[in-house]
Amino acid sequence: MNAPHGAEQHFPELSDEDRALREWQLDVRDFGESGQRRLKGSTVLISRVGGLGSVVAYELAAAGVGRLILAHAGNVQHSDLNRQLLMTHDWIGKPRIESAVRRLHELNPHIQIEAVPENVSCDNAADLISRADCVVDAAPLFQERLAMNDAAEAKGIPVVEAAMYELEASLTVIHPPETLRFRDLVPEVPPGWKRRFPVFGAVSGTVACMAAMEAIKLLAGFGTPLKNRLLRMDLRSMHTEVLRLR
Amino acid sequence: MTDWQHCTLRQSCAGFVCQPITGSNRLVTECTITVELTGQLQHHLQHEQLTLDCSQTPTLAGVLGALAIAAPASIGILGEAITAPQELTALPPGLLIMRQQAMLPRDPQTAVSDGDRLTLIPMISGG
Repeated sequence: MNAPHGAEQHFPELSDEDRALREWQLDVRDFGESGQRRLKGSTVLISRVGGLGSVVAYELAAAGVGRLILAHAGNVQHSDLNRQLLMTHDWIGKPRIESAVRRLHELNPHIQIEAVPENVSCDNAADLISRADCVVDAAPLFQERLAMNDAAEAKGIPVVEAAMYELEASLTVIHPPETLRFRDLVPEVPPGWKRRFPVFGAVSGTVACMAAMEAIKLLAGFGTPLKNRLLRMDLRSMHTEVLRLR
Repeated sequence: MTDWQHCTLRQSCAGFVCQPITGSNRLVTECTITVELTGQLQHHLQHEQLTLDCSQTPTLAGVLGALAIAAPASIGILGEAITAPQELTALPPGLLIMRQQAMLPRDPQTAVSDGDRLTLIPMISGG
């Protein structure tokens, strides 16, 4: 998706099968065949395919994004299965990334997937991001989120930041200098953050679908992404608000 | 007792008199702040909101100091630094503070006013 807007010739043509598969979304206002070609020519890096990233990846594969880079270490555990919808019970003890690839190819056999069986870190962030047009941050640890955002900022590509805790969720798009930097919000790892936290899969799935939609809007160049705004949802009360970050 | 230690939890003003506070031969203007708690703050403190008396230190640092006294579990989430608001040079990493749906500057000396409603949003993650 490296061509500027308007340079449609740089994006891959749609096949008849592409048109048939995406028929229902090709009629979306401001999207159309042009937007679909942009998605087909795009690469999205998803950091971890857990509760959030699984659903993001599934929605992007369904939407026809051409290529995904998935980074996630470790094997499927029992405790993953309340929310990590690309993992299955029969895959417990086997690599998460293999389960994710298998499930995504069941949905979309044409999608190209670069499966990275490790988490994003300072060591690999720049390399992974160098091949992406957009990043979806679905990682639990602030160390990897900071590394990923630093690398994305250096390359000038947007990061969709999705998060959840208990019945709350939040979403924003980081794309400096147009927006604040992630480090403006989180200068360093917060002191009290715990790797394990309470959450329902329905909460991570809700915000994941919204994160996927933000990625689609950014890649296809339509709508109004959540730049300098933070969407906050409390699914306990169904209260939703959009807060101004700048 | 330092000024910030005057900051107290005010639960529906029960047991507290909403009067100007005098100390060190000066009159301190009343400053009652309502903080809405979200994420891990709400989860661990078991409150959706708290009302804090920040008359002695009507700044974000004072609000966090009052929160530390009213709900000590907040220290584990926001860090030990909030217990010394007069020495606080930056807001805790990852804590966003909103007023009227807009983020306040990350300067702990940012002034707050009596009646303000603030939303404390510790950044959360995926997983």
